[in-house]
Amino acid sequence: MFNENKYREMDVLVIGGGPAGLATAIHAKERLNEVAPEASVVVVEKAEDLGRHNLSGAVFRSECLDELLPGWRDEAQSELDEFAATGGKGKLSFPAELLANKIEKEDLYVLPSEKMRIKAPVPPEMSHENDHTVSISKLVKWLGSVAKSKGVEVYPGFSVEGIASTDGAVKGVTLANRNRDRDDLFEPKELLSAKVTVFADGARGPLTEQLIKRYNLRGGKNPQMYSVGVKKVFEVSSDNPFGRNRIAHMIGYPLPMGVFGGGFIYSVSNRIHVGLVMGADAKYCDLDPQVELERLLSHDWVAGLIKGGRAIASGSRIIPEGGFYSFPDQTVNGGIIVGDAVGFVDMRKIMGLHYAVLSGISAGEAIFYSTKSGDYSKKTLKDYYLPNLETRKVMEDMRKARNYRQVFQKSFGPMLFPLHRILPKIKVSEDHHYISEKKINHKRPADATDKATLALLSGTMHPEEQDSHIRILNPDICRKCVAKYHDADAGMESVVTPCIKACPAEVYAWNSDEERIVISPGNCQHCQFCAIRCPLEVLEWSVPESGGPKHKEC
Amino acid sequence: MKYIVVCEKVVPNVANIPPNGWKENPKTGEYTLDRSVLDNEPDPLARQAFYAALNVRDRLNKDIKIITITMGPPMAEEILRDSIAVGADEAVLLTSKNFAGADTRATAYALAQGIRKTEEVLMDGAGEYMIFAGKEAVDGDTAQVPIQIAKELGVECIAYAGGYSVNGNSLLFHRMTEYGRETVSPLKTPCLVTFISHTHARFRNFARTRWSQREKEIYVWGPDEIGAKAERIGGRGSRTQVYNIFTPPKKETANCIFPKSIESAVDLIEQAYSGKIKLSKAEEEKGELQKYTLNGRESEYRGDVWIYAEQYNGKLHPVSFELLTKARELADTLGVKTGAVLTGKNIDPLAKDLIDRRADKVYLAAHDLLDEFHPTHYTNAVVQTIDKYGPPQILLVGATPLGRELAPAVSYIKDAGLTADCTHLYIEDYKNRKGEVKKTGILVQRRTALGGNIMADIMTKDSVMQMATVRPGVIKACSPHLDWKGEVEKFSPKLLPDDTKIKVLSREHFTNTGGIEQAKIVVAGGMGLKNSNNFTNLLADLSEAVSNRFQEKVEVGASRRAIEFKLVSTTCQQDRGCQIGQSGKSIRPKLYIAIGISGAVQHTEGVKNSEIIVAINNKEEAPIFQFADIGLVGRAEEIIPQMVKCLNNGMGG
Ligand SMILES: Cc1cc2nc3c(=O)[nH]c(=O)nc-3n(C[C@H](O)[C@H](O)[C@H](O)COP(=O)(O)OP(=O)(O)OC[C@H]3O[C@@H](n4cnc5c(N)ncnc54)[C@H](O)[C@@H]3O)c2cc1C
Ligand SMILES: Cc1cc2nc3c(=O)[nH]c(=O)nc-3n(C[C@H](O)[C@H](O)[C@H](O)COP(=O)(O)OP(=O)(O)OC[C@H]3O[C@@H](n4cnc5c(N)ncnc54)[C@H](O)[C@@H]3O)c2cc1C
Ligand code: SF4
Ligand code: SF4
Repeated sequence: MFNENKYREMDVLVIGGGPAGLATAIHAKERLNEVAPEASVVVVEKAEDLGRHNLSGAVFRSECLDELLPGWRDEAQSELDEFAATGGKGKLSFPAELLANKIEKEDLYVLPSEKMRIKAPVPPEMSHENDHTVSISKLVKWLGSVAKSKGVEVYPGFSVEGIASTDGAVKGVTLANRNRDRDDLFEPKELLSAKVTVFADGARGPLTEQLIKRYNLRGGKNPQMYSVGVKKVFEVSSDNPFGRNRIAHMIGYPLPMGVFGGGFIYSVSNRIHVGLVMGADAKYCDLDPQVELERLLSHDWVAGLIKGGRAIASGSRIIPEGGFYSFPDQTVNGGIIVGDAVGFVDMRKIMGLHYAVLSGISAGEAIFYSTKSGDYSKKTLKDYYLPNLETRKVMEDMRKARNYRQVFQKSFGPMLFPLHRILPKIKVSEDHHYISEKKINHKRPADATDKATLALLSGTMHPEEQDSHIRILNPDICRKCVAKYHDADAGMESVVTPCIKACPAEVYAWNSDEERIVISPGNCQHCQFCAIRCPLEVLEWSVPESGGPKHKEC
Repeated sequence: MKYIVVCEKVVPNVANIPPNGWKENPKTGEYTLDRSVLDNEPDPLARQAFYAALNVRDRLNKDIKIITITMGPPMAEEILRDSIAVGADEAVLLTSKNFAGADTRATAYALAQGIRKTEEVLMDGAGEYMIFAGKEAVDGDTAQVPIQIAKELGVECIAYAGGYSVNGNSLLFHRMTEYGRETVSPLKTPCLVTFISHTHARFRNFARTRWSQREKEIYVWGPDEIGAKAERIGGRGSRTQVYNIFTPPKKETANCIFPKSIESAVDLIEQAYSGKIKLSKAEEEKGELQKYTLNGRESEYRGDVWIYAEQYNGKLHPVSFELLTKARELADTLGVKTGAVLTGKNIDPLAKDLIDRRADKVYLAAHDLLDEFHPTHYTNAVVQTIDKYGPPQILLVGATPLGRELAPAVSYIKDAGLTADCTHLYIEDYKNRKGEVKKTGILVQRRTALGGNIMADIMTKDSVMQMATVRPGVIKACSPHLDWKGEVEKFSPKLLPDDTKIKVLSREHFTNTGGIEQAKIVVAGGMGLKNSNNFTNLLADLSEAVSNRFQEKVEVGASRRAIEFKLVSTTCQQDRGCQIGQSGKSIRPKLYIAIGISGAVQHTEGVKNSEIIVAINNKEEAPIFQFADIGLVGRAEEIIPQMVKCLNNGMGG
């Protein structure tokens, strides 16, 4: 018969079904099968379906899968060969499609203006030879089905809210309440307990951040730095001039001088993904990533590529960029952090997918050894996790890139750039400290789509009756913020505050009658860029009970 | 009551069609809906029934067992497992390729057989159960299946429950009718209840989810297991057949008219409202334009063309005249007579009104038990009229709440096909692919499906008569024809109080306009109204003036942003009852006036089925003007008082 409590206990609990979480689960399950086949490995993901809350570029370095899933490449290759032999009939499986998307042409352009484009040589550290383009949503969906086939239990549609710990050790998590504002239907929090909890909740992962605070895991380190990525996916005709198996990176236009970031165009199968990355430390308080993406899309060359195409998906997400000097401690008693939640992103190429997978494999190893010895202490987990990260060269790459992003934050940065690999730790402050009252006044190009359309294309949805998952801790402060960042002479029709401008999905608006920020949480993309940009640190983003974007291709 | 059986359904999510859901046909340039990219989800109203079952269990008796059942493809199992995770005790999936292609009749039969089997296997056989279902499913929205399940099982059906109350050990249901609200008590179980939207969602619980995914067995049955007769399921058991599916032409955009003055704008609105001019190039009624004749051939079906004339309190529902107009046209084409069936208590005087609208025959079924609408008695009265004077070859019924309860029951008893909510009806020959005439002079029943995203032509098969319901307002009624001659046949049907097992405890009478979703005129405000004073006052003034002018109740709506900014009244704020759009209500009024609303897609999604759209916005480039028929550029604070003045002065009339 059904015994509730039994189902709330497990051996390994993974928070977040992204590449890092699923890789951890797959590898842990596989290894545990050797010693404890009955051990349960459970993944909990807030998206309704795997892949729906993940957004990336993406260029993928696929070697990491060879260790995770030996043999996958040969299988996929033979499917691809057969496909070619039969004249390309039918539909390719995900792995074969991945192989078919091998990058053959790679360009770097400097865009001096909205009309000009200058080709630049691709520096070796940015090269993507042998990489493949991929849609992360599809990658995650596939990893999820692999995980299930190996006996991992995957439960999408559950938001983790808090950490349960006793005696200095993580014991499990609590799930977000449902119907929390209704007495008659109130459903109490469920407590899930596990021997080891894996924090794979991505960039600025809400649970990882709680963990870092609770155990002071970032003591003495740099704070994390971020960029936001906003993108659109286009359905284009087969004779599209950009072509297949090609990627291009762009610097310069549309971002102003001194702002970190740039654009990318990737062809993924028959779609074109266009995105813009913009540093959260941009000094202009009115710099708006969605407007910047639209400006990029209106650049003569880019506009020509997507002409006649149809935007079918859109969304935003942040990238952790602080690198090596911003890593928190990656283990606690009964807990281990993987992927973007740590910040395993190589800023030279803005790649994190394979580090997410490799850190997952390393964590899987650590879980295996801990289970064998029955000891999930911080020390044991760490003793197995870190050396495994080293063997897989994760740490080596991170050390090489350790100052790459930071130099951009300093005014003398560009001069130091060539030296970034040998410089000592460059200290930085949190991104919002760099925001000033300076405005850039970039206008949305005529005919460009607005933020509501971005929200529409992301398919985002939150039950309207649900409590807002975004809170302003001290709403009165926002008046000061408006006074500081908004130019009163410009009228009150479109008020400038960092949050209104930062949000790509029009979640914030200023009600000038009542002098307060009004929040439309329903539009939210779960990128958290607003919270990072709020200079007064009053904006709190927490995990909603349910809902969010519905990415299938982003 | 020990058990509740919930009928669930998997439907495509049509409220949220992704941009690549529409596939362009390169040859014709037409777009068709690609169902494979739509997400599947549990039908929202069936879910309401399920939540009602959970709430009843919580409030009445914790030991009630909830059994959820669905007929559908194998992947429907996912939704059943979801129901288990939310709180159902058992789940039954009826699946087989032989069930496929079923119309409502064949679906109802299969589900009824499934429920019989469930009773045998999962219940103690004492019949102490209720069946809960959604009022209708979003993909077909016919509202026929539950009523027909009840007929097949021989149990009572309480339709449109909008809530219930616990009375000692039993349940009272509050059901909405067109004329108010009834509180009814089922005297006997089993009994079937259909629900409208009335409660909040309940969520999955992790432990139950894990249990349901890992261990819980669900019952999977095919036709043999449930003892379903092959000739009564799937396409074979159906009495209607869809033979043509196409995409409705999109509303033409960017032909908004900007009148020079407010007077001329009001004038234009009035002319459009009264049908004197047509603003949008709505679909041409192609079938009706080409003249069809039988040319001496015999039509496939025999008999006259009838309508059901709905009356309430001695007054005919306007839809009766609309139906008669259509019946006249069809009867003339077929060379037969028209008939109108009228049921009630003191209804003799109404016969004349029907003859004035060119009815050849009026059948009066009069009885004391027919004083107020009661589904069982009314159904029996209509069936007896058909048996005595019919059958007709065509029977048209208004798609009012009453008609949507009556028609499925009558059609099930008479074993006749029924198509709900037809937008076009005409006579045509049915030809096969090769162009050979296979059926002469049949009734083409055209309707929309999948939330208005596709159109289908449907015909009746293997039936004695062709039945269809039509929404009020779709057909334009002809004016009275005072010297028309018709005959009246009056009889007293055989009805007994005991025929029914539900008791109506009380009736509240009020004009149930069906809220904003059914309203003929909706006036909505957005952020452009800036504060709640403006919102309340300007909208109230305009609503009143419009209401007086057009003699129609006006409902007030709002954009989401207006609600978030708390510009709206508290009643409107409550549960966002007046929010119009993708995540709010979908409306289909004759006249929609949007004030200070920018026209974001999420908003216009909810109003695209409106006939006349008027927009008031201070910015000429506001996207709403690409969507509206009539545009007024300017500040609402200035425009509305002037409009009110024009409307009150009867200018432009
Ligand atoms: C615009 C952009 C472009 C990029 N381009 C590239 C590229 O070209 N190449 C590359 O290699 N990398 C790229 N990256 C980085 C890469 O996407 C990330 O490194 C990678 O996705 C990290 O995987 P992860 O599993 O750690 O985190 P994520 O993919 O973020 O997954 C975390 C998961 O946890 C879930 N979650 C979070 N909180 C909770 C909670 N409380 N309860 C339940 N579930 C929760 C989330 O819904 C999410 O599914 C890019 C990133 C961005 C934003
Ligand atoms: C998942 C999702 C679901 C959504 N669901 C819905 C939904 O169901 N319903 C809905 O409405 N929205 C919905 N939205 C929100 C939608 O995208 C828009 O944000 C919203 O509709 C805008 O409301 P608005 O037009 O009132 O406000 P605004 O966009 O702020 O427009 C105000 C308009 O008023 C005009 N104006 C200003 N002053 C005046 C004046 N004095 N006189 C006349 N005009 C003036 C302005 O020019 C402007 O066009 C949804 C969004 C998402 C992402
Ligand atoms: S939330 Fe932060 S950024 Fe937004 S207005 Fe308030 S203080 Fe400013
Ligand atoms: S509200 Fe914040 S988290 Fe949500 S989409 Fe906007 S910026 Fe991203």
